[in-house]
Amino acid sequence: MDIIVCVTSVPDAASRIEIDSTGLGIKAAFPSILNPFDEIALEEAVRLAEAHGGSVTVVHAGAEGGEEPLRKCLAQGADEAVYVKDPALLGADGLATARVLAKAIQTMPHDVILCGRAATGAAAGSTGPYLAALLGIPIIPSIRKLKILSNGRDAEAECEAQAGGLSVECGLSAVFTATKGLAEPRYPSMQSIMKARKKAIRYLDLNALGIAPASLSTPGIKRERLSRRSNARSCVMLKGGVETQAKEAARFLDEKIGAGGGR
Amino acid sequence: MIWVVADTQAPTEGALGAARLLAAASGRGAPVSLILTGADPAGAAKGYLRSTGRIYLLAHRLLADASVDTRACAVARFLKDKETSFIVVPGTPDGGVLAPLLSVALGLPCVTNVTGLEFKDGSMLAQRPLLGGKLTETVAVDGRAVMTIAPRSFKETFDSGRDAETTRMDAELAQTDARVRVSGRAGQDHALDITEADVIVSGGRGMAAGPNFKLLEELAALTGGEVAASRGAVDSGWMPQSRQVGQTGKTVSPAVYIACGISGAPQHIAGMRLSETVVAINKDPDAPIFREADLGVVADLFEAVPLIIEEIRRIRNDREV
Repeated sequence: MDIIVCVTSVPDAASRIEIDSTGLGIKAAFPSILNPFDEIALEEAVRLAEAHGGSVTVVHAGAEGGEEPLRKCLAQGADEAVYVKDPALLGADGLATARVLAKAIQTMPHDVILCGRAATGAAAGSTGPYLAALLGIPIIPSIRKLKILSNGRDAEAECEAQAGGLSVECGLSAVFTATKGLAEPRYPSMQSIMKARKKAIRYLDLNALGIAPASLSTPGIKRERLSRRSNARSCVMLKGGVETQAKEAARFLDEKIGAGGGR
Repeated sequence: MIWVVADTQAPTEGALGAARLLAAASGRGAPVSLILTGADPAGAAKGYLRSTGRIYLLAHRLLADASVDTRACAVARFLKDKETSFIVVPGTPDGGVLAPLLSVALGLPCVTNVTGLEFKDGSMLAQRPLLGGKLTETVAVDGRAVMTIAPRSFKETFDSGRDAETTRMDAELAQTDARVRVSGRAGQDHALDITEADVIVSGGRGMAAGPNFKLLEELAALTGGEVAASRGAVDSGWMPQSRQVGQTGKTVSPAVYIACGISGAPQHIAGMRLSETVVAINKDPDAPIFREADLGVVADLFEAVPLIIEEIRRIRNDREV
């Protein structure tokens, strides 16, 4: 079974964030991390390959900095890493990135395509659906359980849905997006980290995929500006014993919630 | 024409509110049409009769409890030859998938998780939060687009004063279009998804054990809220995953967020930063949660929460007398 995992890196939630001098990009104080949902997707892919045989290929598209997340994936069990690296991808939006990933995936055999439910920074969650639509295959979003049937052609999954869950079935190949609960990422052993260092990342660029850089801009939408949220809070710390504080807190809550509260 | 695609599992008011704003700004008074999908969506349409001018019931037996993959196929085929300026979709788990699928199928750009709209010199600017609400991105939209609307945004009540004109259409679907089939829905463990709740009472590791969440349920019932939890509490098995607030859980923005025994890790803050008002209850006066709160109660939550419940009841009783 050929399993593809699309990965990206995201700013660390603990990092201080600055808007750069162009006003359109960000600078993070801490190094980026592998998107937590992609890490879950990768773990599931490695488990599937262990259970059913086959290989796991991780794919990343971007202008720079892709080696770090790809190396991490190799250490956590991916067999191969493909990096579509091209300066034209600097500032590429979600659809452009998905177009490049889809083109790259089309050059490889693929039964199962996994990616994170969303990148935690942008939280758009569009990559999986875009990929499915561009490749013309089904999308099964936010899965917490995946089972490949013994015929190797069909799958059953449990998805997270509004206020509950959903069981679905579909044929392969398909795109699945991973949410928490699907698999707990493993800590790579020293041995697997060492082995990963020896694995080579395969590089591709837009030219190799036959993509014209100009075709990547999405007409009709443009990032106008980034701004920092202005209403930083200043906390009023209540004083006194617990009874006094509880009284004040209750009054505050009753005022905020109003008469509409309570059912 | 501005189209709103209703969610089958969640309220669509926010998307309708945003669509009305878009219609008003377009000047021509572009009509807003609502699309409902289902085997027989007439029943579901009843709640929306006075929210919009026109309703299309997109009906097919394959749309009975359909996957988002099948719904997207039906909606895209229905809209293919229609005049379309905006397609507005609720920013629910389903909507967040439906929108990019429609975007590719119909060749329209897509803007997700919109919390605000601004109109200036004939152009439209959409605001969306980035990085757990640390930043706001403003996107200029030139003409047509698919948009998802963040939960609890644009919820103003509206009554058109007359019933919508309703048209039933048979969806163009073949058996092979049902590529993802729903075989069951499980664990509707709470009526209202936490992303839609006006008040959230959230517990962290400080709750110490699952059964202690009963205390938070009592406060939630009293305040018309829903109970949620931090990652620590969910990973301990005290609360289901569907109620986790934070980076690997849900992003919420209720009117009031009450954090009980939550220390306030950056990953948790990323999921609740955009709450309108935050009250934090924690024993540790240096807990980072207080930096994201408006009101801080420094106390043992097992003492403070029962007293707060009692006091709210007393205030309400006094008011009624």
